[in-house]
Amino acid sequence: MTIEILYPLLTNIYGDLANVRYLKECLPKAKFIETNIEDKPYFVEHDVNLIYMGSMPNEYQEVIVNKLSKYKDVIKKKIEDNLLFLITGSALEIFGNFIEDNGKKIHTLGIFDNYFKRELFNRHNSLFIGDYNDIVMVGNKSQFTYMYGKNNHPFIKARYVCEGSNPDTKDEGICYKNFYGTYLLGPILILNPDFTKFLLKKMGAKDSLKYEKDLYNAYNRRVQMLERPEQRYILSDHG
Amino acid sequence: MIRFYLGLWASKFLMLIYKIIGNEKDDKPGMLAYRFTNKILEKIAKPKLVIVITGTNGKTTTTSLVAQLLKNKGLKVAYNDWGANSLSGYIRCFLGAVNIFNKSTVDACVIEADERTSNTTFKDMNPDYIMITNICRDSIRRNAYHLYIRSIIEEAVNKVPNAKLILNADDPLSSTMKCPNKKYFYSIETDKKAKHYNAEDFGVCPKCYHKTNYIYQHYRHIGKFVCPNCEFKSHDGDYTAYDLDYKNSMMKVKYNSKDGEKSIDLPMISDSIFNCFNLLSVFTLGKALGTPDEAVVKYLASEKVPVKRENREVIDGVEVCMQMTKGQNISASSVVFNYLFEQTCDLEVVLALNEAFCDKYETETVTWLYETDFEFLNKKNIKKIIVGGNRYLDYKVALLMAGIPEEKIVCVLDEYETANYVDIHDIDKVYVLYEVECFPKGKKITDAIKVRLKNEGGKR
Repeated sequence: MTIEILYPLLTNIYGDLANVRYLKECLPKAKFIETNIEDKPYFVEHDVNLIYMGSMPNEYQEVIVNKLSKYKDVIKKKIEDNLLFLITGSALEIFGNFIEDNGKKIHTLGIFDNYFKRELFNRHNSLFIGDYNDIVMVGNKSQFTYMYGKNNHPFIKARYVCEGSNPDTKDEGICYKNFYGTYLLGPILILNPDFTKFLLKKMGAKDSLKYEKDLYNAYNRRVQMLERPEQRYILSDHG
Repeated sequence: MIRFYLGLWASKFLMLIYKIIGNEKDDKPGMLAYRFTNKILEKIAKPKLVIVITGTNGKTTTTSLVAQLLKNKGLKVAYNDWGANSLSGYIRCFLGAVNIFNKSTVDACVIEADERTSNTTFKDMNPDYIMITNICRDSIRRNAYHLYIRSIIEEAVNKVPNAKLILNADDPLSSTMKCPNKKYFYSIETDKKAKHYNAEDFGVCPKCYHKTNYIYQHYRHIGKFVCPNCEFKSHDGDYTAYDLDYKNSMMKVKYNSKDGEKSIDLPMISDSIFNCFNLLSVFTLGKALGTPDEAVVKYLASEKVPVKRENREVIDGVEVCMQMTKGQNISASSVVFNYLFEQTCDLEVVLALNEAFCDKYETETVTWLYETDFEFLNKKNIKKIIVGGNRYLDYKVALLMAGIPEEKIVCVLDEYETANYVDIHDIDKVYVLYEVECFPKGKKITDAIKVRLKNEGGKR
């Protein structure tokens, strides 16, 4: 089993790389390829079981788009061929048509027909609960952008006052074939054991989790907390 | 101008009332003055010397040292020593340093300044010197990520090109900012390389994005780097510390003077490397201000880290150490864990790092737990890690992920219960790490351990 992590030195904010550390613990025999900016992505010439890319600083988005744009058609084909992608946080922005930032348009890969609007001084921080089929998804968001455009393939349905990909929708992220892209960031595989089991099964691995009991203890408490009527979801700087 | 004076007088009157009721250090007069005019900070008269201290970690300690240095020089100093690093806090501080005719009544203002809002406040403070302690990974909710903060500070210093910068050459993030200001660099030589860290703050070269190499590394990204691809590298220190002697609390500092290279002995204020950097930054400022070596050393020799940040007491052979540790702040927490890793005696650690606000609404963001280097606590002589607070189950997973054996982990909901789980008879030290806004809670836990030591006795 081979898992490729795209540009981990640049996509290393918000704890997203903990997903990789956790997968390494769950899949000790799997091969993990960490692709750096000077490398040709491994998936271009080899078969992989999962491509992962996590949140990145805005400053690195154009660098990564420049590197990946020459492989745009390969990426499109891999998605159509049902290759598993897990894309978290601001990495999702890479796959839309463009990012609009204060009048400037940053062209991105154009894999999906969406665009993103960035407001550097209007950041959204929140706790999240939603549903992906029968899986309850929980997590955190912290973003400068919102996603707009018609979303034909939403991933998660946000609950209560939680926002989807923008304040006017409950549809969160993109799920097309085996491409899972979400604004949820950080250690989403650790926070969502049911989803992690689902993903491992998709990869053809056993769905037993490392520290399973403790993951579920923390998960069940978080779900319980996020289902309380008095719960706050939208967060300020301090809480 | 009328609004300015009305604001000045109204806030002066409010300050008088606060003084009478014994609440002198309150930001509300600053807030009141701002309501009269949003130009208040710009228009208020500044003393001859304004020093602004910003950065992710070390601001409070550094500000306190700078203020003391200037006071010891005989200057009359105003500074926001009540931790008011916000716009109203700055205004309140400057208001306290002028009379009702807007004439300065002090020689210097020393301001601990928030880094995230620096691009909107520094220009109005018109600083002569800006000290940037470091730029590191901090709270996700507040500061997003380190490069975002760097871009804000870079914008701020470019707005005040005449301000001189005191920069940590060993922090590649702040020391490589593009700006026209005159810069004084300091650094600490070592032959160390960092042992481990989960999240690289400076993983790639800012010019070519290739992986950087470190010549030496104190902790995290604090060190001297060179890019093997494009040869972009760290600045050299104008003031460089070396031969850090923790046993005798002394370090040497060398620099080039007009008489050639000079070296002096500088007494440390604490046995932690981050406080050595704080001290060296103040030494560098002292030199930039033209203070003779002997005077700077004399002024700093008696200084210690503020008690609210760290304090210790030995009871019946067990040292009880209370250490402020910023929860959510990945770099600050990891550095404290790194410090614990370097301890060689048998110890236990109590973590009470939940945010105060989280206690009420359980809104704490847990992503930081998976960027923080709990791995440092995975060491034979660290006998137990005791965690309290409503994120206790998340800590359990994070500690397991860090490789810490399950039998060494105690996680309980009630933070105050943590004191009961310390094996006071089997250890040399216990560290209580408490969140920055939770000093009373940290103290209560620490006091409970001390009471147990007094009643039950210490090491057997």
